[in-house]
Amino acid sequence: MSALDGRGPHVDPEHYYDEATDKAAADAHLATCKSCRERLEEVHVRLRDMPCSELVELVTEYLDEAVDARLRARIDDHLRLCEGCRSYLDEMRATLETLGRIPRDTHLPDHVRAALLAVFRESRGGITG
Amino acid sequence: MPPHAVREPAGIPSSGAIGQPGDSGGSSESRARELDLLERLRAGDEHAFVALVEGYGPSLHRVARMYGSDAVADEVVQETWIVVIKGLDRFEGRSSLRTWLFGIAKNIARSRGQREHRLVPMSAFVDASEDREAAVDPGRFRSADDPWAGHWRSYPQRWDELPEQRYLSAEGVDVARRAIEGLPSAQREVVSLRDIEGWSSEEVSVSLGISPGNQRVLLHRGRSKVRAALEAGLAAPAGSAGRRV
Repeated sequence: MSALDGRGPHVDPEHYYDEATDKAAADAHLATCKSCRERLEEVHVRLRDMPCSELVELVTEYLDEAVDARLRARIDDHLRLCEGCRSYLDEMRATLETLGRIPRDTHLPDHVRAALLAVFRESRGGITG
Repeated sequence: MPPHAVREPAGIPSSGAIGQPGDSGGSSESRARELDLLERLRAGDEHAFVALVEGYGPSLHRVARMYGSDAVADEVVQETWIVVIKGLDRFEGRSSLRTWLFGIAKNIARSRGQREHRLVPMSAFVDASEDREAAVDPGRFRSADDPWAGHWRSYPQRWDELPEQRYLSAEGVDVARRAIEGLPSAQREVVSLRDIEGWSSEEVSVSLGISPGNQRVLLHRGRSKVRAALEAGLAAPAGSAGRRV
C-alpha cells in the first residue's frame, strides 16, 4: 500500500476530529481509500465506548488517580481521540491552579488572640515559654 | 532528600508549618513534630500556641461553617480552643492532633446546631451521591436521538489561547473565590479544604466524617461549578468578568 493509495495522503484517523484537520481534504481521501475508512471506523468504535458527557463526570476521580487501571485506559484512549475533552481536562486543571491562588486566610483578630492567650496562660499556671 | 536540601531545623514551627499540606500527622517526621509541639504546648509555650491557632484556625472555621453561620463558626472555633487548652494534659496522643482538634470542633458545632434547632446539614452528605447534578450543562452535548449522543456539540474553548492566562489573573482568582462562596456549604468546604488548603482526599473525609466516595462527589460538583463560573467569566470582555450585577 503506497502513501498515496487513494486521493491525497492518508488520513490520521486519531486526529480526524481535531479542529486543525482539513476536513475537506481528509474526506476526499476517505472517499477513495478503504483502509483509512476502516481505521476511522475503529476510532468511532473507541469514541462511542465513552461519551464525552460521561468523561466529564470522571475527571475528579481521574485527577485524584482514584480510577482503576481499566477505566484509566478507557479515559486516556478517549482523550487521545477527542480534542474537546482534552480542552475540558485542561480547563479543570487551570481551575485548580486558579483555586490554588486564593490566599489562605490565617488572620486572627488581635482581641481573639489576646483572649485565647489569656486562657492558655492561666491554664498553664502562668508558665511562659 | 536531595543532597543540598536543608532539613527543617527542630524548633518552634513557623505558623505556616502547622495545618499545611503534608502536615497530616501521617509520616514519622510529622508525627515527631507533632509530639514536639504537644510538649511545648504543655510547657506553656505561647509561640507554639499561637502557631497552632493560626495554623488550624481557618480549617476549623471551614468545618464549623458546615453547621452554621459565619458568626456561629467563629464562636465554635473559639470554644474549640478553650476545650483544647483544658484538655492538653488529658490528650494521650493516640490519634493525631489534627483528628483530635476536628473531633472537638465537630462535636461543639453539632450540639450548637441542635440547640439552635438548626437543621444540621448532614443531608448534604447523605444525598450527595444520589442526585444527578451534571458537571456540565447537558445542552453542551448532542441529544439522545443523535448518532453521536453525549458527545460535544462544539468543543470547549481552550483557555491557554486566552490572552495572558486570564484564569490566573486577579480577576480570575476573584471569579473563583466568589464561585466558591456561592456553593452549597458541603461542597464549599470540601473544595476549600482540598484546593485552597491543599488537604488530601483522605484528610478531608476523615476530618469531616464523610465517606471517601461522598468526599469525591462533593469535590466534583463544587469544582465543576467553579470551572463553569470561570468559563463564563473569562468569556466576558476583559474588565467585566465577574462584575457584580
